[in-house]
Amino acid sequence: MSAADTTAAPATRAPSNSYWRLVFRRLRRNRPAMAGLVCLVVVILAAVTAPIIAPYDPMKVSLADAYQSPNAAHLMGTDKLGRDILSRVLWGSRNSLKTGFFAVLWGLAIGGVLGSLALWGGRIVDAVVMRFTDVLLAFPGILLAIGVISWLGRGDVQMTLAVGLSLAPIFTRLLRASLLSLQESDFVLALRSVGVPRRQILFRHMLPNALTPLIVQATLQLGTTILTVAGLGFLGLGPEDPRIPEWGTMLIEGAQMIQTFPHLVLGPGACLVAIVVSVNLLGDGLRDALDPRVRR
Amino acid sequence: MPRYILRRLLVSIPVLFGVTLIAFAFVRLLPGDPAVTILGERATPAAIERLRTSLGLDRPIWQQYAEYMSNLLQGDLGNSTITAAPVTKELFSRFPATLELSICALLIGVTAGLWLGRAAARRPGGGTDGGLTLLSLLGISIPIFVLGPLLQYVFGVVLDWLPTSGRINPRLFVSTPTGFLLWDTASQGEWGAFRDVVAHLVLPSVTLSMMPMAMVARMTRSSVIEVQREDYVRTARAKGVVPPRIARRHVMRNAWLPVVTVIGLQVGALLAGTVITETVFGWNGVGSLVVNAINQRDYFVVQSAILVFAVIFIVVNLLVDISYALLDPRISYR
Amino acid sequence: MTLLEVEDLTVRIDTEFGTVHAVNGISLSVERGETLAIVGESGCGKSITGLSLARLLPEPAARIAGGTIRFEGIDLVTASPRTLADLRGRDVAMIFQDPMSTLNPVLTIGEQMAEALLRGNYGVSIRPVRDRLLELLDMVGLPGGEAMLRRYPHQLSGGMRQRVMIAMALAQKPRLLIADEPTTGLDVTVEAQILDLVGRLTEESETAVILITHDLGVVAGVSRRVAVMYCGTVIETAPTDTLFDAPMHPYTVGLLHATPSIDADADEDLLAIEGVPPNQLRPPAGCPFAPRCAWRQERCWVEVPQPRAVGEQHQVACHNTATREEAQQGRPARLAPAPPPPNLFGIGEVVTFRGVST
Ligand SMILES: Nc1ncnc2c1ncn2[C@@H]1O[C@H](COP(=O)(O)OP(=O)(O)O)[C@@H](O)[C@H]1O
Ligand code: SF4
Ligand SMILES: [Mg+2]
Repeated sequence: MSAADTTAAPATRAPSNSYWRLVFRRLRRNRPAMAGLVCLVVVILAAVTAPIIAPYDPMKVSLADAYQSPNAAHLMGTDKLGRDILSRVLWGSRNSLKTGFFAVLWGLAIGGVLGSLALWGGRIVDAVVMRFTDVLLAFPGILLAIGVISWLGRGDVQMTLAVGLSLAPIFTRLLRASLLSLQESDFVLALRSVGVPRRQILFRHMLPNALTPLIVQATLQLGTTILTVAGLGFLGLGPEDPRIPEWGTMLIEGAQMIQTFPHLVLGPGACLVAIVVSVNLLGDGLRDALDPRVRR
Repeated sequence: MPRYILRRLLVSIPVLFGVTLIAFAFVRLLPGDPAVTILGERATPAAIERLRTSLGLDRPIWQQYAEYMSNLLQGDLGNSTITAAPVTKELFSRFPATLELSICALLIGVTAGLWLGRAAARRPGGGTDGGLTLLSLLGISIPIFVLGPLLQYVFGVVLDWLPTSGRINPRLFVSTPTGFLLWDTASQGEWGAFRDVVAHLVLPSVTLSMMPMAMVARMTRSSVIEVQREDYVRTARAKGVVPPRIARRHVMRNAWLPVVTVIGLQVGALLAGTVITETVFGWNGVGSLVVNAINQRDYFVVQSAILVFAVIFIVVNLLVDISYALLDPRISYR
Repeated sequence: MTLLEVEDLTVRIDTEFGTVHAVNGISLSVERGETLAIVGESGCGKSITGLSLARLLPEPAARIAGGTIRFEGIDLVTASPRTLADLRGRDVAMIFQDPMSTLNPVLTIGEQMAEALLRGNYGVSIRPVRDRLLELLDMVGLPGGEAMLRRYPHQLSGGMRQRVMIAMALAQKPRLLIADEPTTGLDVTVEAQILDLVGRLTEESETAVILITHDLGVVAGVSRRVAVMYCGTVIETAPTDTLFDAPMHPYTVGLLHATPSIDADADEDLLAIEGVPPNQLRPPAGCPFAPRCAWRQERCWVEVPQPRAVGEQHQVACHNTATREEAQQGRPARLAPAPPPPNLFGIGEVVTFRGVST
């Protein structure tokens, strides 16, 4: 007798419609995850419609209105140049989400290539790739990105490339590990024994399965990535043009003025935390739905 | 066991090698003429020529690397392009501050994380569990540059309990032979200064500890829940072993294993976190050194600091793996 | 006084998919020093029954929903945690299937065995009980003495690990040993040794044994009495000889047909009972065996058959035992198998032949 007897759908099973339906049902029943999803959808909508819903021009300077506390006209107050913080937060979310999303995609792409290479390139390639990921992982997250940016220079694309690269080793290892365990799983052995062609096993059966943990990890990493991007902005590596609204850059000023004007941190900070919390809720929910082992 | 440790050591050698290679490439492969990029457009041609020769840019790349390595092994990391001081010296003077902060944060994070994780695992799905899960979710979602200023505002401004910046009140004159202020003040019996140092440490180390605390709590919780269901725990109950011993010797002893790995990985996050924490709290450590260096394009300082962080990370994880083997008798036989 | 008296025991398990009716009102009794075998196919509730008897269910997900378990007069269902903790290991001991996962991988054999003696009330150290541990090793036939005490579970074979389990279980000479498929997964020669060891040691210490197994072949040489379980109920209890010679319940009849005789060729086609056990999330209203039964009648669909005596120490839960003679003569004429009930989550497998383990 063990708990595993009755818990359904081991992770190594071939995906099927009913499996995904079960996963989806579990996810739907997970209230926090759903709350995260709803919140995320709202944020994305807000980002997309920022040009319409933002009450002010995010770049419009109005020195007479500097450092206003939150009030009816400026819900999150204004900054030292009298710009409306809410508008800047809304516009900034476009940048954050875009950079975060593409950085994760880019990380997935590199990770996917390296991971597959490790598995099918033979022992030497595998060893080299694994040591390479070890090396990349040894540079603590944001530091690797700092290095790459001071190399490539500042800017949107550079930021995306830098942060994505620092994610790559995580995805590489994950993909390699799950492909490896799939390769030895009963269901792949069974497919092989009945003579299903290698390529079909790989593309139709193994990759879709290996994607599962990758999706969960990518979702969870999206939160971290948004934080890293803002962190780099906070360190002064954000957009070169200071007028462009960017969360991390906005927070530099907030942190310096925290003694007198805490609202500079509160507005952008709360939005940032809210996004990351919802992404993480969704990611946790996905993980639980896909792998119900670690639950009550 | 010794064989396992040896093998593990051998694996880290190529990684260390790779790390130096990347640090090396970071400066030598700068786009354009590295010497110009490093010194900036306005540098005199003579200065640029001097740097070119000292970097050996006219020689083949492998010779440059060999020289870089040999300098590195002698403790020569080059000179700051801003202050012209040796980078090694600068790093050494800043290092104790960062270490003191990191160690405090790690201790707080791990202790609190373990405690919270075990509390949550006691009744999975219960109220405590729900609350703590939410708390740790917040912990991994709130960035240092938001949490730090908020704590500064609440405890430094509103309540006015704690200092918000620096390591020690500058009006206190204490000699600091080691640079570890806790040690320096305590060993000289300067208890007033010691208390001041502790007060300065509280906010930054709590801020920095948030991430490791949340990660350790999450891992402890799920690990304890999983181990609680293991057959050998049932065996222990069947033998009539008393619950406190089951919790300690059977559950925690096994639940530790994945937690130890997480702690090792969190050291990386912690080191990266010092960069921002030190900026927020005006902490004169390696982290704030790096930030200044980035803004001033002081490449040798950036290069060396990153290298040092990476090496620390590798060494810590080596230690973690070794302690893992000590904790799990199955490892050394694999 | 009877050592163990179980009445109407009912166990429910809450899962993600609903409540599993794992044990549905079973009654058993065990005398001092007696060995009772419980047989049944995988998933019929044997382990859950065994665990309930030692109150080791994975609570709160699994819970005793009704009935009594009297051990020497004490009702274990309502007993305080203290009483239970006192009882476990000392009076009621248990050994499990899969000795790989039932020993703690990071503690030495010595420490784990010492726990069985000391229970950790004042800490556990090997030194004060060293001699006793060596005796125990000797008792279960484990070589190596002190060196063995310092080894870890992964350094032992499956048979040796099960010997460690036995040593721990019998360390305090309990009055009842619950052995849940102790030999499943071990190879045949080791199986015989282990069964022999358990038999010999419990006889010496006058320990009663409940031997749980899915393998009728194991029962024959070991116990004098057998209870057959199906779908969370005991459907037949009989002396072993009677059960083999004159099985009364249609399920038992089928099971015996499905058990190959010792000299049967391994490759020979084994008989199967057609159909699958019902879904224990929504147990059927009448006799649980009805969908697969060749003797069923109308009322079998609606009325749960209660156990009743049909001979000396022989109880059967079946409405239709009139065809007993027919059953003794050989295989009954089969009815066309009824459509199998929905079995949503693969709980319970088709009984094909012996050797299907949990
Ligand atoms: N931990 C558990 N969680 C949920 N259901 C369980 C659990 N353990 C057993 N069950 C269910 O209880 C029933 C009886 O199981 P069990 O006693 O282990 O059967 P056996 O030991 O006879 O093979 C089965 O339907 C099984 O699926
Ligand atoms: S009660 Fe009816 S259905 Fe059940 S075993 Fe007996 S004859 Fe078959
Ligand atoms: Mg069982």
